[in-house]
Amino acid sequence: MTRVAIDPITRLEGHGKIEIFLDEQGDVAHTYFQVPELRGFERFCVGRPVEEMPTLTSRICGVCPEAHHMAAAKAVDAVYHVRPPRPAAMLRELLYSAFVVADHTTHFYVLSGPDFLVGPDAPATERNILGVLHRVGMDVGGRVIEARRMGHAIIEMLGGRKVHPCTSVPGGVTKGLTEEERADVERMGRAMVDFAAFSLGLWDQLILGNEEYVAMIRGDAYTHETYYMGTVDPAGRLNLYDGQIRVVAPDGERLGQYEPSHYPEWIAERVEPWTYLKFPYLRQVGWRGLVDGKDSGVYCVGPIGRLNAADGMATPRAQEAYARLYETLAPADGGPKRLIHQRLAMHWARLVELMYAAERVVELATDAEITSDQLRTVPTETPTEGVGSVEAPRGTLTHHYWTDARGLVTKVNLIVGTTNNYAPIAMSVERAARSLIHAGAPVGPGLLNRIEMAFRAYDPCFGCATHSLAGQMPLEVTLHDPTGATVDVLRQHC
Amino acid sequence: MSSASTARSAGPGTAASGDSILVVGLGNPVRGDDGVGWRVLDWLDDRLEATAPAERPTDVEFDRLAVGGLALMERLVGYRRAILVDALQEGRVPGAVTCRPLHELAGSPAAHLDSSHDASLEAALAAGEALGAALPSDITVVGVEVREVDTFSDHLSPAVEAAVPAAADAVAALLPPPGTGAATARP
Repeated sequence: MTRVAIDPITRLEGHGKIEIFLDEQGDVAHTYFQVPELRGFERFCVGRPVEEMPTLTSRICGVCPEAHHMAAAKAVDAVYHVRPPRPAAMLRELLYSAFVVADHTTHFYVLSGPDFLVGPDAPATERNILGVLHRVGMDVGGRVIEARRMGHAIIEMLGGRKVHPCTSVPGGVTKGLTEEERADVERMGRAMVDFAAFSLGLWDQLILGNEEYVAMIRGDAYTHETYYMGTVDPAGRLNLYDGQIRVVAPDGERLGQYEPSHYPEWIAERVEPWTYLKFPYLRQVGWRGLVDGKDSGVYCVGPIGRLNAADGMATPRAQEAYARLYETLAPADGGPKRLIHQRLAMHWARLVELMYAAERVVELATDAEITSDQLRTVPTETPTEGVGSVEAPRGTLTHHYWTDARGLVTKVNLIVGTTNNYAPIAMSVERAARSLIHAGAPVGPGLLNRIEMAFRAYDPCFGCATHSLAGQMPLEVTLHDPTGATVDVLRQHC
Repeated sequence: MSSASTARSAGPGTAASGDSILVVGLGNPVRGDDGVGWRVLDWLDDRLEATAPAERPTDVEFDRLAVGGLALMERLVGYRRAILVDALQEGRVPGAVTCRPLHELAGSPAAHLDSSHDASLEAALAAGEALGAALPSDITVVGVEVREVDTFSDHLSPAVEAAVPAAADAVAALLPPPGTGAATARP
């Protein structure tokens, strides 16, 4: 097959580029999904006081600054060898849960909503938030905006400012909750739970009630059998803020469970000549290429990664929603837990997590210690090296810092959610292209959207994966014949 | 929930008087030239600090944002006018300053008006309006052509740094002259 030449993409951040090579029959021989690279993040951080990292790294990305803030805060705790007191850890988790409610809400209604609530083949002019509002009603739009507003209000109350929180310091947080604020958070948390229940109901009604959508979710075009990764609490239940990392095989067998600081023993990175981004894979399974199966070290993170890795949910209504998801798509057969391999079920899994995060807001806001003034463990030891990890909405997020004895950063390593998912996303794009492009069939905007749906399920943040800020992600799909000549180019936002 | 209550709850801008002007710097302050919008606001802040209170434009607020789309729309709720200061990549000479109404730029990938994780600003504004939000009738984009956005840095490249005062002037020219602001014009 023709060798692929990579054009350096300099025009815009997060520019996704898909190259599709057709064989003699006009079927898909191979696809490449490329993203550009941003440079100099480590150089930018080296020499700075490590306690600045939670604020600095939250600037990496405008989409999930709270996730970077929390992973960084935990890494800084580890660098200083301190553990925050329980109230401080709870306040961080409370802020984080409110963030997940806002983020998952936005993804479901605004990003995936156009595909499921409007329709995958609807004209592009209707596949947007306005189209969603016309489909589900303005009152639902009002609830979406209100859920976002409540999430942002809690973030601002606890984080010190909107969007880019600045509350975390080594060993704790700078701001606690008054009783009045606590009552306000509890009230918002209960409204968030109602909203999550409403959203799960909408999924039942509009998606599960539509045979075509159910067939699409279950279909081969959007299914991969890979390993899965997610954070679990000591009881093996899903946790977004803290815990050990668990990895399960495609057949449900557990590969292992480890402290986040042991990630180098578990994750290796594969360099391919056609892309700047490295492919992380499971070291002990090995790299077999972008392929499914138990022999391939490719793993998937994010909502289905987390749900598959966990034994269940730690809150009651999320557990109910979790049980319904598995009963529908992967009913138990007496063996190890059967996993969800359908990538479009990521959207459903996201709603299960929406409920969990909302329930956690209420649980934390009603904990007797949440208004305590025990906000910090003051560090006394010499800083060295530390790893911090949280479950970002898009997957396991790891920050690793090294410092000198004065606490100045000497080295940085980040593995962000979307980087973990690079291999499965590339595979999903190829699978969708193979399933949808056939000899002689016309290739049009509908096809472009259905291929896009394959990676939209992961809510990829390639801007972030390359340490950048994402704007509207431009996408360019180029079709080549077996000689390498360009047959067609489809563009969106370019 | 009614549409009207949605509008009232649609964003932090609800505290605005409805007559005021919001100036937003858009971009990422740690990605080189991408942060120019924030730097223009810093410049305006400094200039205002140095101005006698009576000479300052009234009813003008400044803010900085890293993403567009829904978050930007929500921030604009409650203002009569908005001025967005953004880094653009349109193939002009680095440092070139342009000033255009939003509709001339809507949908352009050259700016940060949109968010790949939710909606374009155009769609977000349409949705906001459909929900009854009080959005500015007049949105202007002051753009600065940038060069280096692929390397982490909190410095601007020289040509872009040199354009900051001109961009700040372009923003200032859009603000009401001192003493004639919306607040003072109100009965």
